[in-house]
Amino acid sequence: MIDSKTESLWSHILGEAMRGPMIGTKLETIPSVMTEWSDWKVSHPDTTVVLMPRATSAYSRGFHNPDSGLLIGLLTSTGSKSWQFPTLYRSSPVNDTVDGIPVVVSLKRETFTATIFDRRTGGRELTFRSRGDDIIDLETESTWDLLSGLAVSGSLQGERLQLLPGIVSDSAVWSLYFESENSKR
Amino acid sequence: MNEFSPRNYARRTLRCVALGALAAVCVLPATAWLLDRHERSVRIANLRIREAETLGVGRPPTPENFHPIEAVPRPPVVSGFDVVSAIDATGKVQDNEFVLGTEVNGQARAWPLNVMTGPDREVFNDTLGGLSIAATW
Repeated sequence: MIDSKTESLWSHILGEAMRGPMIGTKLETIPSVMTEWSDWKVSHPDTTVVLMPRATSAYSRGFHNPDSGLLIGLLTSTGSKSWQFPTLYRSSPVNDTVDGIPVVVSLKRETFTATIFDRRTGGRELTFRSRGDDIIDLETESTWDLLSGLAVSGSLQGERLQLLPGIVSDSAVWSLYFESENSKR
Repeated sequence: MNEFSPRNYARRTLRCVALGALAAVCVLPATAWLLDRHERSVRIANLRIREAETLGVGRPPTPENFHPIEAVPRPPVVSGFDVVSAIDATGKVQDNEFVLGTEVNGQARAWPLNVMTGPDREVFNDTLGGLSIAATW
């Protein structure tokens, strides 16, 4: 990426200026989710969407699939951590810890939507597991939507987990940048 | 009428020309598509090799080794695009299209990945929830 004001050159994966007057400056990464439009508008009914002519139709259902070689990764203070989609497909949700922060990594099987949330709320740490089609926490047995991070029923209903800036990436590309510090669970 | 009569000859020639034209119509685009696909895969493979060479394996980029490929020399700034509500997007964004979605200060927005594609459509300058943001993937 280049910014037109200073012509500095930025790494889009790190959000950091690598060359030019802004060198060393880091942008804040805003957490985002890559999912199907139908899922996004259900979990965010007031959403707006950008309209422009399509350049392709390739990125529709099936783009994320068990053979697509994708992962979701998180940059940490010392490197990175990532979780492969096939692993998540088998064992979502995964309770993990990154930089001392307890996280839950999940993959919605129908649409292959991966998310990473901080699994602390109201001063307590939660542990997630699947029960049938639902995701529940073991501590209160509340049911959660791990696309929006919202507790949809149970004693924690209305509570919301904080989304972390997970990056969905091609495993091969990710390993060019981060493999040596990568750990897969 | 003899099989070598001028009329038969003309008919046969016409048939040959028609068949040739048909073959050209079918075969040429198929060949062009195959060549294009091949060229694209070679280009991607080369990009990966160059990335691996410049970055090494398993190292985050640093100012010293950061040499990204310039897909287009001066990509245009992408901003000022149309933004509509989910209801107004009915029929314009397909349910099964992948989007990049985010929420800032209670305001949510989605960018269809099929729109964020191509060397001149990589970075979307936008504002959301009072923040100036750049959406890319």
